[in-house]
Formats: sequence, structure tokens, C-alpha cells
Amino acid sequence: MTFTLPRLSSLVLVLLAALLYGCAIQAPAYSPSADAVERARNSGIQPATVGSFTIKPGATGAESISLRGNTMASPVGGNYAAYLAEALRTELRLAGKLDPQSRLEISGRLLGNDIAAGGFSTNSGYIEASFVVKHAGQTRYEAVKRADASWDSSFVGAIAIPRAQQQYPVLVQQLIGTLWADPLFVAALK
Amino acid sequence: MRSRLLALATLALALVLGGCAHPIQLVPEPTQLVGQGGANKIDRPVVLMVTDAQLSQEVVSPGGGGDKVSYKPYKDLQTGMYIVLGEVFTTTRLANGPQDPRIGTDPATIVVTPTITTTSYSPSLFTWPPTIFTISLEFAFRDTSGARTLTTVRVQGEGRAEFDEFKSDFSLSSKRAAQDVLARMIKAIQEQGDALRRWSTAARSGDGAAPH
Repeated sequence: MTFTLPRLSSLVLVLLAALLYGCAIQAPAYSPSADAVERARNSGIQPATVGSFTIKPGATGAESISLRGNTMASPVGGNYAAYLAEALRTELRLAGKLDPQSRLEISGRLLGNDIAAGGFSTNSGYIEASFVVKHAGQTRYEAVKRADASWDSSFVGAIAIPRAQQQYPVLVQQLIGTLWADPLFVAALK
Repeated sequence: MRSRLLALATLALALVLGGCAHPIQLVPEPTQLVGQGGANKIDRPVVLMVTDAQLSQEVVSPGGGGDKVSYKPYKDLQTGMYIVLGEVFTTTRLANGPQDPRIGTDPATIVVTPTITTTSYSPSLFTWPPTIFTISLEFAFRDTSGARTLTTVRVQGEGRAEFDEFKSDFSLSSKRAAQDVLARMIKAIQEQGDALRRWSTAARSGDGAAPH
């Protein structure tokens, strides 16, 4: 089969379109920052378990986030509340502070998260959730936390979409970082 | 006319994409590294020193179809390197420069400075994600003053990914390379464990004849 230039061009366009646009993509798996792991290790907290993370009814972006027509889904649990729970679990596990049998439990509710990927020069995103710490069923801590971020973007979707995709775990890192920075949260886990 | 339009569209697309580097990541799954070091850890404090300049360093290397990919190797691998050291040493800390107070004053402390080099490649004419990615990771183990290098450990990891796999994760080959190189580093440091223990013990007792 001989490809003429136009046919080859069409093929390139179709392949690029298939590769870059209109696809269902996943948010990257969560990886905490080294600073966060060290902070959790040195926090003096007792090992804790991660309980249920629910979704506030009608919460923005709880099931999926649209990035220029691409649907970005959570790689765990089918929604972003499960992603948040797994992120917290990962952070505690790497810090040596995860114990599924612990009477200390962190649970939460996703209030909303979204990424605006349509901008040609900058884009932004947010995540907001409430967290509860209980010891043997008694509530020790309850607070709403939020993280916002903006980043350089591009007119080109092939640049802007992966960049927005990569920002989601960064937003979650920042959200969990607000917990570790809260002395009341740390005290509730001691 | 139609074919001419398609050719023009392709040219326009190439011009738009040309000069742009597609962002990918080298982030491993750090939980998969946990437990690989075993129980016999080196009972010495170790500090991973990654500077702010390294964390913000962006590398651009070849992808497929004449395109390029960009990434931040030190930022992406910092957590993995920290977990690796925690798998081999009992006490691990972070520092962002030689003056960082977290290095402390214990003469037995070992300071690790990483050097990362990468290569990427794809034979594809049509898709940009790399199908082969390599990471060379070098750890220089130094004393707290930085004046003396105790030993240097260097390993290389490789990740491969084909279109069917990476179409849902454009960073797949680089993530696999990251996982591979970090797992290899755990074993490579363990092979130097006795020498590091001897040096650290001698340094703590003030023995100037500590082994290299």
C-alpha cells in the first residue's frame, strides 16, 4: 500500500485526534511529596485507619472532571472521594502511620473539585473536603479544608491537557498538606 | 482541493506542536517500594539532599514523531528516593542544601546527593509518548561537611511501553523506568551496607582512619 501525502496526512490527523482528544483519561495515581511523608513520620501521631469518604450530593466533579472535552476519571474507586481516601491512606502508609485496626479513624466528605483546563495561558483548579477524626467513635476533630492552584497552560491541547491532568494529585497533596499544618488535626491523632 | 486542505491542516498542526514539549512524569508508585529493603537496616542517620534548583529543573528529551517530552526528574523522583533510603537506613531526613539545619551535627550522619540522567526514545512517526525510557541514578554518600565522598552507587533503570498500553497513560514508560531504577537502588545500597556502617561507626568515634 502506497501512502500519498494527503492520505498520510489524514492518517496522522486521525491518529492524533484519537490519541489526544475525546478520550477517557485517568487522573495520575497519587504520590505524596517527600516533605509530607517526613512531616507525617515526625508528627508524633498514633497510627490511624482511614474510614469512609463520601460525596456531598451534587458536588462538582465528584465522579469525573472535564478537561477540554476529555473526561478524567479517578483511577481508584470510581470517584474522587475514593481517590482522596486512597491518597490519605498512601501518605499514612509511607509514613508508617497506617493501621487498619486502629481505634483512631480519619473519614471525610468530598465537597467538590474541578479543573478549568480551557485557558490558553493559565489554568486553575480546586478541591474542597471536610475531614473528621474519631477515636473509638468519639469525634475529636472536624474541619473543612480547601486547596487552590493555578499553573501555566498552552493553546495546544496536547500540552494543556496532560499538564492539567498532572495537577490533580498536586491539588490533593496541597489539601492533605493543610491537614498536617493544622495543629488541631495533629493533636487529634495523638 | 480537499487533499490540499488536509496537507495544510497537517502543516499547521505540526507548526503549532513544533517547539512544544509534551509534559510527562517520572513518578513511581512509592508504596510498591515499601518492604523491599527487608528488616536488616543500617542503623545510621541518612539525609537526602535535593536542592531547590534541582527540584525545579526541567529536562526536555526526544519523544516520537519528532516531538519532545518534558519532565522534572528530581521533583518526580524525590519521594521515591526518600522511600528508598528509608528502606535501607533506620533514620531518614530531607535537606535542601548543605546549610540546611536538618543535616544536624552527628558526625555519623551520611548525606546523600543524587544525580539523575535520562534518555527517551520512540520509533513511532505518529505518536509522541516515549516507548523506551531510561533513568540513571547516582547516589554520592558524603560526610556532613560534604568534603569527603564515602562511596558512590550508580544504577540504571529502564521502562518500555507500547501504544496499546500508553494510550491511557502517556508517562507509562518513564514511570516504569522510575520504578525499576529505585528498586535497583535499594539492592545496590545494601551491597555497600557494611562499608557504610564501618565508616559511620569510625566517624562517630572520631577515628580519622575511617574506611573509604
